[in-house]
Amino acid sequence: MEKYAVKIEDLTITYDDVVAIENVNLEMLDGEFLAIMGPNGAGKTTLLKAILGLIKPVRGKVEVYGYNPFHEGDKVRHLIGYVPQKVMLSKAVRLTVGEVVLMGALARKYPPRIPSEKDVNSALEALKIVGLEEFWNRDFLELSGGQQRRVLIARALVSKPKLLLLDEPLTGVDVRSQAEISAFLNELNRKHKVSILMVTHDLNPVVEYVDRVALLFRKIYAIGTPEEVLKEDILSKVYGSRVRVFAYGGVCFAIIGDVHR
Amino acid sequence: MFLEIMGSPFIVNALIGIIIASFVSAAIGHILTSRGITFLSAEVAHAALGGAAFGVLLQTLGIIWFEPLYGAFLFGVVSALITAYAGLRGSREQMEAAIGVSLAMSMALAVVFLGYIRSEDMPKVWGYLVGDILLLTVDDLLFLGSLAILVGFFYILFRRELLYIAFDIESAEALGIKVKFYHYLSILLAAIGVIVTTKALGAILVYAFIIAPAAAANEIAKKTSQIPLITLAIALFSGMIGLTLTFTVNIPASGTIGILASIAYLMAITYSRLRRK
Ligand SMILES: Nc1ncnc2c1ncn2[C@@H]1O[C@H](COP(=O)(O)OP(=O)(O)O)[C@@H](O)[C@H]1O
Ligand SMILES: [Mg+2]
Repeated sequence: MEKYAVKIEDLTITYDDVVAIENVNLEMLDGEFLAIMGPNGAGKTTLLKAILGLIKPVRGKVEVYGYNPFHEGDKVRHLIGYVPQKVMLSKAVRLTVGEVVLMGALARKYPPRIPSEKDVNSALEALKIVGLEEFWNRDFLELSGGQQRRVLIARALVSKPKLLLLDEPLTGVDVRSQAEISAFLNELNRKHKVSILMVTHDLNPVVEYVDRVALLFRKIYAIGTPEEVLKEDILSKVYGSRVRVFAYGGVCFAIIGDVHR
Repeated sequence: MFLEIMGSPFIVNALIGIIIASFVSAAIGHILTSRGITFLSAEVAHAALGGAAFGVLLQTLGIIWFEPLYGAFLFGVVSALITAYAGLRGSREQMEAAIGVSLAMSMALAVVFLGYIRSEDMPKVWGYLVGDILLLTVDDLLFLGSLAILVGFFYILFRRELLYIAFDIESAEALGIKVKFYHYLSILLAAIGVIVTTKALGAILVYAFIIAPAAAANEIAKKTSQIPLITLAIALFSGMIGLTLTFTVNIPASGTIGILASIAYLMAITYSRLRRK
C-alpha cells in the first residue's frame, strides 16, 4: 500500500519563457484532504495538470501512487478523477446529464465505447452520490452552475478513483451550493476514503474539512494545518497587505481584499 | 416522358450521387457544427476546386493519368491538415482565422491555375464549382462511394470521441482520450466528406448541403443521438426534390438542392423558436 497519493520533488514547469511553478516539493498522504490555495496565475491549474501527466516538467519528479504520470499516463488516469476548472462547454454540443457522467466510464473502454448496463449503473450511482439522480435525462447546459459542477464531480467519481483532483470547484457557484459541495467532499473523504486534492483561491468554504493547506504562488510558501498557514504574516507574502484572518468557533478564516498582487 | 428521363443512366447516377452525399452530410455535418468550425467545409471545397484546376492543367501538360479528382483530393486534404495543425493548441478563434486564410489561399491558387487552362478544358473545372451531378460516371460513383463508406465507418466507430473533444477538449484529454489523434481524424474525415460533396454538387453549394441540414437537425433534435438521422433525412429530401425539380422546371440541380437545404434550415429555426415560446 502506497503511503503517498502524490509525491512531488523539485518540480519546475514553464510555458515558453513564463515560469509557472518553480522548485515545488509536496507530499500528499493517501486518504488526505489537501487544499492548494493561491491567487490567480499562481500555477495551481498547472500543478494539477502535471499530476495528471498532461504537462511535461522542465525539472523534477511527480509520482502518483508510485507511478510517473507522464510516462504511465494510463495507469495514473485510472487512479484519478479530475474536475476541471473551466469547462469550455461548446453550446453546439448538447449532452444529457447521463451522457456527461457516462464519459467517465466510457473513457476507459475501447471505441465504439458502447455503454454496458454496468456502466449505466455506476454512472447512476455516481449521480446519486452528488444528489442528482433524477437529472439523468436533463440537458446538461440547462442546469445551474452548481448543478453542472456536481455533475462533473459525478463524472470524476464514476471510475471509483483513489484520488480526486478538483480545480476551483466552488468558483462561480452560489453560496448554498458551495456549502453543499464542501460538505459532500468531506463525506467522500471521510466515508469513502477518497484522497482529495482541491485547488481554490478561497479556502473558507472548506477550511473546517481540510487536513492541510498549501499556499502556492509559483513556489510553495507554506504548508500545514489551516491554523498553521492562515496567519496574516504568511498570507501577506502572497496576497499583499490586504489580508485579515479571523478566528470563529475555533476555525480560522482569511478575508482577502485584493487577489491580484 | 418523365419515366423515360428517370430511367436514364445519368439520372440513376445522379440519384446515387445524392444518396452518397447525403450520408456524408449526416456524418460530417454533425462533426463540423459541434466543433463550431462550419466554414472548414467551404475552405476544403475551394481547395478541392483549386486542386481540380491543377489536375486539368497537368493533363494539358501531358500528365494524362492525373485526374482532376486526384488533385481535388490532394489539395482538399492538405489544406484541411494545415488548418488542423493551426488549430491544435490554439483557440477556436485561431482555427477560424486559419480557415479564413486557407480559404483565401485556395481561391487564389484556383484563379492562378484557371488562368493557364485552355478554354475547351474549362467545363471540367466548372463542374467542381457548380457541380456536375448529372455527369457523374460509374467510376466517379465507385470512388466517391468508397470514400463515403470510409467516412461513415470511422464516424460510427469514433463518434463519442469526436463529441467529447467538441464538448470539452481539456477534460477529454484528462480522461485519457488521445485528443490530438481525434482532432486530426475529425478534420481529415470532414475534408474527405467535403471533397466527395464538392465533386457531386460543386464548391459553392457544399456549405449549403453539409451545414444547413446538420444545423437544422441541431434545432429540431431532442437528443444529440437523433441528429445524424435527422440530418440524413433533410439532406436526402432536399437532394431528391431538388433533382426532380430540375427536370420539371429546368434549373441546375445544385441550385435547387442548395435552396431547399437552406429553406429546411429556416423552417427548423422557426419551428424551434415557436416550440420554445
Ligand atoms: N497554456 C499556457 N500557455 C502559456 N502560459 C500559460 C498557459 N497556462 C498557464 N499559463 C501561465 O502560467 C501561469 C500559471 O497559470 P495557472 O496554472 O493557470 O494558474 P492558476 O490556475 O493558479 O490561476 C500564469 O502566469 C499563466 O498565465
Ligand atoms: Mg487555474
